[in-house]
Amino acid sequence: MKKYIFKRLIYLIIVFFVVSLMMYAIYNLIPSDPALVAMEPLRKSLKPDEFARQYQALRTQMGLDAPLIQRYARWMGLWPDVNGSFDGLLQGNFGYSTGYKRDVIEIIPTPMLNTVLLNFCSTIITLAITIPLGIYCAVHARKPSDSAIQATTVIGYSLPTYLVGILFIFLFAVLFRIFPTGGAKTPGSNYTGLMEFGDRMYYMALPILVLVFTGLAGMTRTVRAAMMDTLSQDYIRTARAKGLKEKVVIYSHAWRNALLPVSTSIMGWMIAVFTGGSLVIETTFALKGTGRLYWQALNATDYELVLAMQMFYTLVSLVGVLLTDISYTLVDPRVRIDK
Amino acid sequence: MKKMHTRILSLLLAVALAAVTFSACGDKKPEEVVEDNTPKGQVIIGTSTEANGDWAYSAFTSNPNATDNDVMYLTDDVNTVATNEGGDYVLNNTVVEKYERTEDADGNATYTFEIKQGMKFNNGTDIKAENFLAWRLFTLSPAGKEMGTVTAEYNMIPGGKDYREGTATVLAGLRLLDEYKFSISILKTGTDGNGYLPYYYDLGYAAARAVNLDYWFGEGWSVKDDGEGAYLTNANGKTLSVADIGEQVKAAQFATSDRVTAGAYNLVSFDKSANQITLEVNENYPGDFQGQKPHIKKVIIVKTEDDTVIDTLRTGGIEIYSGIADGDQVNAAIDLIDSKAIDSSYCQYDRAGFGYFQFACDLGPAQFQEFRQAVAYLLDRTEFAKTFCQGWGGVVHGPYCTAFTMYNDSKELFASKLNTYSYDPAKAVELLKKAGFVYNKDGSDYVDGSGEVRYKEVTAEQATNYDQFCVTVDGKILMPATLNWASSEGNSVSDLLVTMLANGKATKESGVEIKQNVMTFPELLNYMYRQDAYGIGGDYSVPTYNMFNLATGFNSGVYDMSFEFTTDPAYIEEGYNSTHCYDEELDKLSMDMVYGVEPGDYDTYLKKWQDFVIRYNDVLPRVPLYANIYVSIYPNTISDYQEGPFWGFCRAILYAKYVG
Repeated sequence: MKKYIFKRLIYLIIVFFVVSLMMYAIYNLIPSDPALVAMEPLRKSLKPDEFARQYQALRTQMGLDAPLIQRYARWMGLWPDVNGSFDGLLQGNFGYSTGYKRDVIEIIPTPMLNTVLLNFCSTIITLAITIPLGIYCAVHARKPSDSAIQATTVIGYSLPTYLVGILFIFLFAVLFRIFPTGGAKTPGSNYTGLMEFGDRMYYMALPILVLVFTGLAGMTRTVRAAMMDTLSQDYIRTARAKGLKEKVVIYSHAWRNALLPVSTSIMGWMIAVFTGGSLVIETTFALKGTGRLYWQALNATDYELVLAMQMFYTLVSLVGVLLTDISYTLVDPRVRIDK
Repeated sequence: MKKMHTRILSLLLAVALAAVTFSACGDKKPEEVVEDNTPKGQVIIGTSTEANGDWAYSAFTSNPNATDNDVMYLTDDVNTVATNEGGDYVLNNTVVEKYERTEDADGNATYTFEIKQGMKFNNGTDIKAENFLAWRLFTLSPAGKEMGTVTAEYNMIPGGKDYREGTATVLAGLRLLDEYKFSISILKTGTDGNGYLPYYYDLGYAAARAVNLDYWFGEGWSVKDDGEGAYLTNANGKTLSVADIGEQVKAAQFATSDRVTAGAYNLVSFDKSANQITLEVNENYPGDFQGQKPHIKKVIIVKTEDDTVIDTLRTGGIEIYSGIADGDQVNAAIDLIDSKAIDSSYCQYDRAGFGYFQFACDLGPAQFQEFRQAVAYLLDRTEFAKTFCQGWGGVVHGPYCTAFTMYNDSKELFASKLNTYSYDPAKAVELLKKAGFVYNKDGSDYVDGSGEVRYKEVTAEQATNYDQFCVTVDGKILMPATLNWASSEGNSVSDLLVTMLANGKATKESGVEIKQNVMTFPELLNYMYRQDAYGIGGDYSVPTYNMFNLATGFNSGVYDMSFEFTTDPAYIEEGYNSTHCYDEELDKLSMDMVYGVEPGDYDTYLKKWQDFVIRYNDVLPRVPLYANIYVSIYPNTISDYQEGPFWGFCRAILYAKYVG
């Protein structure tokens, strides 16, 4: 097991570096010049020769005249920067945002917290609904109630999230005035403690509702399929033949085993979902999250911010896959990964 | 007995009633109506621009975004110079006690200010002359340079270059004359060789904002002047260094509360997570340039989304939505008001700017003036503006906005001198013929109405960089009437241009062809500026496209088009003159208009401005498409709220009253 984890960690590091190089190269292929982006707004206020001089100075300061591989190595912290010091990703410097004029590390935490809170709540609620619903569907497979649930849940999956968001805003915010249309807190409020949390949750309720509604179909079907597979196993037939009550068969024997493959996929899913922002949801509900931040950074050609976020997602995905694989062995003793 | 009691009671009531009546009819002293100016109430303003929370103006590259800018104005506008409703520079008489502008024999100018005593920051500390010098002394210093401040003022201020480079410890052009008096000097010819005076808007050079030294640089820093110039120093006699002030400046720049400022409002909080800014009135605010102080106690700015902003307005999530440009949104918002769904009103004003498409006037057929004019005649601009703005906009016929004082003083002249390029396909064809587009691709004579693309015989020099479109027939180079259009993606103006111009019947029938090439906006800019000088180079430095659609805005009434039409090859290479219109007269007028007129000489300025607009209208490097009418919604809980082209919500809110 230890050997396996060690081997996977080595792979992980190699993949991380390969991905980072590819990402860096791709973003540097895009015809954009960070120095020019920073200077462009000043074109009118500076005389032409002064503009050119300051632009060139900024290029030098940013090290933009160096070859691509050298710039990559600097960004990664494998090559000394223009000041002669090693100050890159490996040293904990995630870069500088030209859009926000701050270190990237100062920008990401706030939207990340919003995203994690939003995704955590919606995921928990989705699982709380879909797991029993999936079991129910499997037990009542091909009956009208199963078909009805399948058809209802697939609506949220089929409709674009944007449309569901707008529809929910109309219903719950405009028509019934239950929730606000967007935002993250009551304007001008300075609540603390539980009141602050309650206010935050009130504002997040509608986006959570949309995420839950659009996420019902996928997990319900995963659970249903796993449960149906389990219910067709010989040991279930044996249990029934022994005369056990159907409830005991389902809840003591079937669903625990059915959830084994589901739980591992849930784990990987949760890691990715918690940190990955939803551009559509965040934009529709005026929430400051990572999806929106990423999109804004791309539009503003704020590539150090984009790259930092990309690398974070890369790392989360790689670790997520590793943890998922490890979790297989923990929940299912039949799986041996060290061979 | 009971009857007696009733009578007595009735009598008493009658006496009481009579007494009240007589007292009401008697000599009543008119009560003095005392206006209650105590700030009260709150308003919630929606903004589509997410605040960054950077409060250092544009000291560190990049302009602040619109919301940051509004917050800075609301919290930090104690300045020697202000802009009025017309967007013109005016002296801030609330701040300035005495002002004098003098010139030495060489034509260098000195602006001397004596500021009013008794002004205070929001923390109660006095505002003195040193507070107006400190920001320049920081941004121009070597420490400021090391921290990344971008400024060119050191070229125009005496001693500025030496101070910037660290070879001088004092800035000779800034003088601290006494506790409440200071001066700023400007060179006629800067150390970079550029002429800075005369400059029509030179009052802008003398603008100085009051900053709190303790807040920005840490305790113990002050401005001194030993007779040779001003400098920043601390109690230990040290001059500015990044090590000493770097962290403090950064903390002040991005503070989310407790900022020490002097403006109308205090920043109570900037909640980054919720995209929400709360401001509360500053009791120490001396007033704006007209002495106006705010009446509304609390202003909350929240982020809104375009797709849901009308619903947010309807449900009370926001109360003020300022400067709506989108016609659909305007109509939806006004419907809410008309149907009484919200208890609000609206004001409207012309946008200080316009949308346009511009030519690269040195490439392909766009190099011929008649051709450019012909294209203008092929588009029904009135209909275009009507469709695009959904009735909330119109057209302009030159590089101006209708709010300019100059425009309003030129209406009569422009009516006779400006070509409105009204939709006229026949006139377009006439101009195309005049320009020489009279051939078919095979060199035969063009037949009007054939629907084919017209060609013109050109020289090899004229065909430069347009080889992909030109053909050679019998040794003659023929250039098509084809525009190669760089159009940004997801742009509704582009979509309408495709329908009404590129695919328009008149365009097809006239023999003009417009090829749309969709690309990202940064890529469009690369092609437009031909970024040869900017390290991008490659294909972008080769002239490729000769039509681009964009928009422009005038932030104030300051109209400075200098270098926009420069004919200097060095400047052109650096990205100036993006239209590549090398018209000597246009270049001269654009420069003379601001650098050839003494400040205050409005008549001379106006004449040059009119000449510039008329020349522009004829040469036509850009074709204006639309100028929006902006609409702002505000709640009926406030009165006297009026925005204007140069008078956004942060100005209007100072004059608004809370009526509940």
